[in-house]
Order: sequence, then C-alpha cells, then structure tokens
Amino acid sequence: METSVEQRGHVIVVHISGSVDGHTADDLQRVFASEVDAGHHALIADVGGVDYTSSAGLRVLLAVLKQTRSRGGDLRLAAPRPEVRKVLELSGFTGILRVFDTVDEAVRSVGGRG
Amino acid sequence: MTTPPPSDTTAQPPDAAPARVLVVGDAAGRDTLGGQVRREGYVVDTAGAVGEALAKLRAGPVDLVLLDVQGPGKDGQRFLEALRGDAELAPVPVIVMSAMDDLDALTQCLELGADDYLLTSFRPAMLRARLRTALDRRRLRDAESLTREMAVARNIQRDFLPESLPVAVGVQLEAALEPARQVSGDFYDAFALAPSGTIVLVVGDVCDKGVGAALFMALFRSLIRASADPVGGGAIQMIGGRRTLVRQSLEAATPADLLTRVAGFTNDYIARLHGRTNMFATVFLAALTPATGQFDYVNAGHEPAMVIGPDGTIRELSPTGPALGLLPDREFRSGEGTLRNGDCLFAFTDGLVEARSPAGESFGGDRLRDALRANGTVPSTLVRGVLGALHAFTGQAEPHDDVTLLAATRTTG
Repeated sequence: METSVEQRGHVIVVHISGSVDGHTADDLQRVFASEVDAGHHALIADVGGVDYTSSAGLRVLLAVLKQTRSRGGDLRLAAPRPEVRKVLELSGFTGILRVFDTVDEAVRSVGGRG
Repeated sequence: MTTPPPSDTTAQPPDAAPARVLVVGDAAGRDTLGGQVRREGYVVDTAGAVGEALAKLRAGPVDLVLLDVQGPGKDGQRFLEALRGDAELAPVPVIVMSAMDDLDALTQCLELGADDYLLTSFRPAMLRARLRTALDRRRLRDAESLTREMAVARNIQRDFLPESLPVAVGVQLEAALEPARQVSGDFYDAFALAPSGTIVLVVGDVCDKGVGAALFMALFRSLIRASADPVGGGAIQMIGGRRTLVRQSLEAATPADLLTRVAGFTNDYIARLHGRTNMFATVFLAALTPATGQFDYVNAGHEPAMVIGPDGTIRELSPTGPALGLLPDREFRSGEGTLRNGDCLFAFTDGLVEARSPAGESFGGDRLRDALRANGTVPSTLVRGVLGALHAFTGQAEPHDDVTLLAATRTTG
C-alpha cells in the first residue's frame, strides 16, 4: 500500500493505492490520524488505486469517519473501483459514508476546490 | 550482484528491530561500555542510579540490561533485587560485569538472579556472544510463554462454538471453522428455540484478525445467543437506551421480528458500549422451521448466503442491513424463503472466497459455485467437498483469513 497527501484549500485528500490489509491498515490509520491531529477534519480518501481492502481497512475508515464527524467534519470516499465498491456496499459502508465517482466531486461536496 | 551470505558476526536476526540494551553503571564506565554495545548494532540507553534505571525499564521496553557492578556501594545487588521483585520487569535478562578482582560482587549478583557475567577485560567477540545468547534465550522464553497463552485462548474460544449441532427431524446440519491463526474472529452457532423447535443459524465474521477479533467474536456470539435464546423466557432489549430484561412470550413474536431485534440489539450494544474500538462484524442470521422449511433471515453486511437446490440451482440471500456495530440505530430488515426437500441453506465467511492460491489468486465465487454444484446438498458431503476444493486450490499457501461454512439441508417434505 502507498499513500500520498494533498491539500486543496481546507480539504485534505489522501490518495491510497495498492492493497489495504491487516498489515497495512495500521499505516493508513497513522496517515489519517496525523491529519486529524493537525486539525484537518474535511478528509477525502481517494481509493481509486486500491485493488483490495480487507475488513481491517474498513475499520480504519470507520475510525476516521467517527473522529472527523465528532469534530464537525467528515470523511468521504472517492473513485472506488467496482470490486472495492462491492465490498463497501455489501458491508453497509455506503449507508454510513458518502461515496463519489471522482476526487473533484468529493472535494467540492465538502466545499473545497474541485 | 549477489547477496552476501549471512555473517555469523551479525548481532541479531535479520528483519528484527534492533534490541534495546540498557547499560547501568557509573558515568565513565557506562559511556565506554555503551559505545561498545552500540557498535554491535544495538540501541543503547544508559542509567547511573538504581532509581533511574528502574524508571527507564518501566517507561519503555528494554530487551536486556548490562549492569556494571564495579565501584563502591551495593547498588548492583539492590537493583537486581528490585528488578526480580517486579513481575513486569523480572523477565528482562541481566548480564553483570566486573573486574577479575571483584568476583564476590559477581557471584552475589548471579545468586540474586543475574543471567550471565562478563569480566571487564572482555574482547568484542565475547561481548557479542554473551549479548546474543542472553537475547536468544529471552526470545525463546517469550515465544514459549506466548504459545502457552495462545493455546489457552484457543481452547477457551472453542467453548464459544457449539459443542454439537442441534438434531431435529426434517433438517440436517453441518459446520466447519478453520482459523487462519491460533484464534479466530469467525464464529457460527446453531440452536433450537423451545418450544417451537425453530432453529436459529448464525455465521459471523468480526473485522480484522487475531486476538482483538477473537475477543469480540466471544462478545458478538454471546450477545446474539443471549438475545435470541433468553434463559427463562425473557429477552434483553434496549429500552430508552438502557438494557432491560423483558419477560415475554417468544411465541408471540414472529421469527422475523426476533431476528431483526437480535440484530438491532447487538448492533446498538457494540456501537454504544464499544464504539471506541471501532470493531464490527458481518453476520448472517436465519430462523428455520424444520417442519415447513420456511425460514426468515437477516443478512447484516455479510457475504450473501445461498440456497442450493438438488439440481444445482443457486439463489443468493443479499444483505438486508449493514454490518453489526458500525453506528447505533441502524435499520435491519428481514428476508424470507422456503427450503424444499433436499434444498440446502449455505452460509460462509469471506475467508472462503478470498482464500489465495500460492500464486496469489483468489478462490472466488465461481470456484465456490462449481464446488457447491459438484458435491450435492447432503450437508456433511457438501462441507467436506467445498473444503477439499479449497485446500486443493490453496495448497501450501499461508491461510489468508479464517474460513467458516454452515450448511442446513431439509430432509423431509
């Protein structure tokens, strides 16, 4: 798994690629935690490059979702591939967080520059 | 370029984080000694006084203590007594060091529980050998202790799975659970509700793997069992955000009501009381009436269970609600179906379809369907056949996730 962080105004986009599993989920958690700790609460997870996520990856999303919302922000997802979207739908994550087809749409949805 | 062969002078195993050594002694000695230990590839910290050394041991993990007992006072002995008397710190190996003319101090320290000694006239190779031996011994001891603990956990966890499956006229059951590690985050359950004879079937998969998932497996399983099959004819319900034991006649509630209530209760309990851990589980619940073959189900974010006909037809039972524990106050609906004679209700966890071959390919839904169609609907044959196909596919590959299968086949009608 690889991550990179991009700031667009007040919105932070975390670009994630590769495979998110029990081994890499901790790293992902740390990337998000450092953004939340730095006071960024409008976060976009760009999962366009993710080919697989285990439930450990979903658990990270749940944690970040709760952290950002408790601070008045939100975590939104962008550009999931069909296989990742299927996992999100099956587990009910599409019912608790908003998913967008593109990063630009996701950024605009939280008032950032798309 | 070729990789050089492993050198026998390597201080520690490759891939391992460097071991942390705390060097305790007076100022001049500990700096020299610390430098020598650092040159062997270890992370070194130093302490002068007994109090400082104990504080550093308590503050962060230390793999080994190198204790220089030269000089005046009985500090070395005092330090060892304090260390061995503290259950948390006692396992840390200690190598004591002194000059040839102070063998009494060394002997006393060894009697107080020091693991090994070095004379101050040591050569680098001697230091290297002593450090490595003491650390190897500790790793072995830690590994043995962990293995023992995990074996205990594994045995206790077995008790959270049914000892035997219910026997009822009109339905045959079979289940299997293969953990990827010593303990599992998967679970299954099957129990008959008295007096109706309705059989409740459960297959669940707690997020993530390992010990954390295993602890929550015990909790999810117990919440589901206790809220579905209350002892003494009552049911635990959330009333005004509080858990309350309610006396009621379960016969008055339909199986569908029961399942949605169990899902809602379990979801709210985990999300409200354990929200900080962000743990959740995907769960398939079904209530089957053997006499008629009718069943209701709740699929909480779980892999679609399947109804397999004797002719090989397969119908999927898709989610009717989210995984349990994500957020409180979620809505769970139920679905329904009927098993005709010979139909099998088959539920499983994603460890089955996501299992990997040595080449990294997933077992996948198509191979699962082929295995299901090839093995008929007699539960024992079906479960054995699917596991056989899985094992042939995964070969010697390291298990990727826990795998659970549950099959219920109607046998009359």
